[in-house]
Amino acid sequence: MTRRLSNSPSIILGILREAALRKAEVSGENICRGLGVSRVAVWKHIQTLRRHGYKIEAHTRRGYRLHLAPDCPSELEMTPRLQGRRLGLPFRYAAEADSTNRLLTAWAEEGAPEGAMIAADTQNGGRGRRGRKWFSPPGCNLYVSVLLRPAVPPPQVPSLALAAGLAVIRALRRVTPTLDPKLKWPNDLYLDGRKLGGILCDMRAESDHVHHVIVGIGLNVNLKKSVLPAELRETATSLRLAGRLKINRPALLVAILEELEGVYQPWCQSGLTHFLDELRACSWLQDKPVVAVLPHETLEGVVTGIAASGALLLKTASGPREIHAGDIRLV
Amino acid sequence: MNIDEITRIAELMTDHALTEFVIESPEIKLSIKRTRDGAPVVQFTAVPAAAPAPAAAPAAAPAAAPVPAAPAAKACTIDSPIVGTFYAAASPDAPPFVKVGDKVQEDTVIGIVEAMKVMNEIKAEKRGVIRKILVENSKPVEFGQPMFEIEEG
Repeated sequence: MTRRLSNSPSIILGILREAALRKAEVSGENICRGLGVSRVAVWKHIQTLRRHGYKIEAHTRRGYRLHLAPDCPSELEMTPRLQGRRLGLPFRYAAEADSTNRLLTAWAEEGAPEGAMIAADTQNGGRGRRGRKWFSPPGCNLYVSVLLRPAVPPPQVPSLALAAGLAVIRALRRVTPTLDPKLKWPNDLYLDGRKLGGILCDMRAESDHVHHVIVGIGLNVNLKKSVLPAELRETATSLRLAGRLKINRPALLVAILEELEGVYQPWCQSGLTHFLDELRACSWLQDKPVVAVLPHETLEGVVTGIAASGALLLKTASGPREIHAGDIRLV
Repeated sequence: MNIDEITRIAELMTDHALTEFVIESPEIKLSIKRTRDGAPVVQFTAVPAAAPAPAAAPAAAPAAAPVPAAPAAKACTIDSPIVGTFYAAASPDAPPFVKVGDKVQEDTVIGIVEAMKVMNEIKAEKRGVIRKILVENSKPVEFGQPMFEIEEG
């Protein structure tokens, strides 16, 4: 489960970060005075930070200096980046979760406010649809869930998965402009024809009221090929595998939150209306021939776009069709 | 004769479009009438135990006013909040969340409706017993379509 740190390490980290920008050390004495604690206490907090992966050098006369922060969406890394955000707060980090959607569902039912977020370094019960597993190794990817409480009619909610997918695409365009990620209707992120990530939303609604929607995002960031199980090697990718980039996960998460904030309000007001052109432009399936496996039938056709309801538009031999549920395969 | 049996009879009547049902036995007389589209009206007369009655009593038993006994248990439906696909279980090889006759609490998960990979966990929202499951696993459901009938209590 999530674990709380006292505030002091986070304050010391702030002081060290600020000094590191000036390539300077901070003396232990200055920290003592700033925090009003003893030198021994400061030393203990520095040890705590080191245990969390921070490389802090200590010079006998000059003091402490931060050399390296861990690439981890922990509370220590995220809290200073989340100040003033509408989404992402309150924030909890779990080194290991069964699934961030499941943890956040429990928190939502205890009354967590809109915006609440849980990130995990690894998931032991990460999942996709219908009990399928989501491969969630530690130390490399983003597994994060954000709680929304939109005042919209329940039938509008399913289209949020597409809006959230678009937000992730926008964030990736900013952070990794050399890559061209695509959205595969309705909830997968693709890069060079391989799976980069996915969006899994859990909602709870009655016929006229949405209690909450949890937007779960799983994104392969710095995943290496050697970590992938054999059955995923040909079908999965990561930003690092495709772009030879090492991405700072906390910074990427903040970019995703910013873009999610950007799509959320317009979506609450008018659904996907304003996003249809952009969705079409980043749709992996656009203009491609596909087979759609629906609950009752299997259709063949060419994808022509996405409807405002979020449905996939298909041109078939027997006329246009709107697909609301089903698995889509390229022919 | 218990509430469950009466409920079952009322359901059979609805299913077969019957408007009247009477059953008589030494112990009870049950009569259910249903208007074309209204809820069944149940009249339930308990006949006093067949103990040899005192001489003065005989007339009393049949005359016992038809008691609107068995206050027809409050049943309500759980309707789908979205258009989607209904799933009775968490994954294809998992057992269903609930069966007919299962007792449920307000927060018992009784199904999932998926639309465009948004999973909507359906909770019972009330305490009671699952009377009917009105949708089949992995079949489409419409907005507002009744999926479960729950008898509160």
